[in-house]
Amino acid sequence: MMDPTKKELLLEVNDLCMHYSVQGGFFDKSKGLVKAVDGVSFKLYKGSAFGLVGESGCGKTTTGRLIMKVMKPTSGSITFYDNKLGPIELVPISNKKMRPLRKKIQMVFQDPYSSLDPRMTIQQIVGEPLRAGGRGELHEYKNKIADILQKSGLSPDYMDRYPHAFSGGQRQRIGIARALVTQPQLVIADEPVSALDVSVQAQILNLLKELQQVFDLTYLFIAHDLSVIRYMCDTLAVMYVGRIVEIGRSEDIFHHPAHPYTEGLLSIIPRTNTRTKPGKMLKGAIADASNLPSGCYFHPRCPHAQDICKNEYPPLRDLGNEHQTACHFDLKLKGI
Amino acid sequence: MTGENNLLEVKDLKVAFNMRQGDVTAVNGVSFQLQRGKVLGVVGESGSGKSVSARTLLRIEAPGKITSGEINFCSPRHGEVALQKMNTTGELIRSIRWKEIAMIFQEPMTSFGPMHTFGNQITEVLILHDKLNKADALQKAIESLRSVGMPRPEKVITQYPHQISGGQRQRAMIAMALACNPEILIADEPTTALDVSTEAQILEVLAERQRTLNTSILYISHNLGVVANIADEVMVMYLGKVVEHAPVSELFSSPKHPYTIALLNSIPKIDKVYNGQRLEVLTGCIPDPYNHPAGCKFHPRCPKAMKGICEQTEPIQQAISDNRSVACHLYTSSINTNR
Ligand SMILES: Nc1ncnc2c1ncn2[C@@H]1O[C@H](COP(=O)(O)OP(=O)(O)OP(=O)(O)O)[C@@H](O)[C@H]1O
Ligand SMILES: Nc1ncnc2c1ncn2[C@@H]1O[C@H](COP(=O)(O)OP(=O)(O)OP(=O)(O)O)[C@@H](O)[C@H]1O
Ligand code: SF4
Ligand SMILES: [Mg+2]
Ligand SMILES: [Mg+2]
Repeated sequence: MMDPTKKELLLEVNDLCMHYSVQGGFFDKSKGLVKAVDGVSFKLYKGSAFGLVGESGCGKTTTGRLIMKVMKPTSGSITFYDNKLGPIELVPISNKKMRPLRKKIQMVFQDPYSSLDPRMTIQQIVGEPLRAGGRGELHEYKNKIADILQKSGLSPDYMDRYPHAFSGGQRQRIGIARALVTQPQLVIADEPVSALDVSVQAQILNLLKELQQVFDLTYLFIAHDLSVIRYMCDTLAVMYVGRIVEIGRSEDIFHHPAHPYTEGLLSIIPRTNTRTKPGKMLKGAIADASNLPSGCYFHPRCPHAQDICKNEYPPLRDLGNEHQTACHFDLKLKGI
Repeated sequence: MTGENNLLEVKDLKVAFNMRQGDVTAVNGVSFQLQRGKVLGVVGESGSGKSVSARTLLRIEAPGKITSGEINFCSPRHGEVALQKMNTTGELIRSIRWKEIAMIFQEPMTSFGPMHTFGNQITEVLILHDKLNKADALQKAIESLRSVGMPRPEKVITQYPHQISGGQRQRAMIAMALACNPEILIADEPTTALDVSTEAQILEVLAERQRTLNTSILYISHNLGVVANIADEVMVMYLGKVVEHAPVSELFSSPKHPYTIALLNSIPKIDKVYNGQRLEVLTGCIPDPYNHPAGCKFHPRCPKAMKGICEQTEPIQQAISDNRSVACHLYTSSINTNR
């Protein structure tokens, strides 16, 4: 399999936390704490695709935005291993120092309709990240823009048109061209296909895979659709209320899920070849991040919960082969 | 003819929108039957006419207009009625909406008025249709919310739509649609905006309803996996037409129409190891609604299109067995030569 000595680190996230203080409600002025991201650690290797999955509100987008430095985390570190400058600690550096790095970390957004400015031409939209460094006129970049449009499956003739003239799939291609025009090393794709039609989804997923090879890209791929993650990613992490509950190689996780939550998520995927068995279903809703359960956050929904689960939060433990789970028990040993 | 088991029969329905740029025939000759206690799934790309077809059954197709066809409904209180002939604001159709045919809409936020509590909105329907008094209606609204798995329904009835999550709002919508025990429930992408786990739970609620109360469901979705899970029969739409209609297991195990095959191949499969292999892609996109291709509307995108046939003549929907039909020349010609 993969030779571990050949794996080159690109990004390392360590014990990342983002805690928001919020009001309890309209009439309830008491402050609560929402632990949107709470002690998340993972490594991204060059040329790989790492998936983040979990139900709505588990902190996937927040993790992506913290890496983009849209906001400052409450604590934790994010280290970017630049091919020229070496390791750079992203959290403490100033916006000015971050500027040249922005070109190396780009993002593709979920909604192809609202993420493109309707008043800008395609040339302006795609060229924008190139000019983010300050100097430089758009026309100097024309060839670069034409080239990336072509690679993203769009005719360079479209350069002077406005976004409204394009379909959802074409707009997502524009978004991808914009993210790739600076030749980034890391691309964070936050639900890049969930707003698209089925037939268009396949085109965009294939495009993202092709471009990954062409440019040797590393992806942080956020999605709630596990089939999409399976197709795109070699490793993945499953998040539950701000924490990683299972992490490892895709094949291992899909074949032998070690956490009951992962097992639950896998059991509810609507498949075209078999019907979901209602009995095995993942019950209840994701825990309220401002009012967390005791012990393992998943215990109120977990079919295997025991007393210890109500009292102690299970630490991530190694299962070998870089597979880790945060569950007190071993699903296999329990014969489940 | 409709009857005890055949609740709804749609024949060659056409619905058009008169637009400044020209006419759009959003539904272009759709026929199907809905059996009592069965779930009919409807799939197809965006713009294929799924929602317009569904809205027309409730006669809320405006500004679209029915230009031809029939919609016969076996009403438990009025006997067989021809919905296409009804005055869209008349007494009769109003007594059928919600009470006999109810709909869950694609856009969850627009389905509830923002200014009224859930309690007010659900009881209003119950008071109007089931002639309940306020207190009984409130009790029934709470029960209805509980039956769809809403936590703390007593509290939710005092709340406004913006005060609960999207998933809960969709549950409330379903509770309202089911409150009067309709014969037919039309669910237009009821789970698209939701989380995977909420989606699974809502599907379970609907399946339970179908099992216990024999409710018939028209289930519209672009998610083939979801349809495979809930439907008994599936109809695949392309540009306002039904291109294939089959029992669910047969459609997914042996799809016939090239469009159905392409749709199925384009979705990533959870059980498949791809090893660098690409997804098969459906080339091109749905054509401009003002300008449909001649012949088979799918021919410009079809890998199996036959020159001299497919771009010239439009295939008609034909039975290929007792319970399956396809609109594609590949099957028309084989039927002709085989016989
Ligand atoms: N600015 C904020 N203030 C307070 N809470 C926030 C803020 N932004 C996010 N949250 C909360 O943080 C948690 C994680 O949100 P996040 O958007 O990262 O989830 P997600 O996993 O991306 O979900 P989805 O699948 O719905 O996109 C949620 O509980 C959310 O309500
Ligand atoms: N109010 C309207 N005015 C004009 N055209 C309309 C209107 N509503 C729908 N249409 C047209 O009718 C056609 C079918 O639309 P419909 O909403 O039924 O598609 P759909 O299959 O439900 O798609 P989606 O998956 O995006 O919901 C489209 O071409 C659409 O542009
Ligand atoms: S009729 Fe022809 S073009 Fe249309 S789907 Fe069949 S083979 Fe393809
Ligand atoms: Mg998100
Ligand atoms: Mg629709």
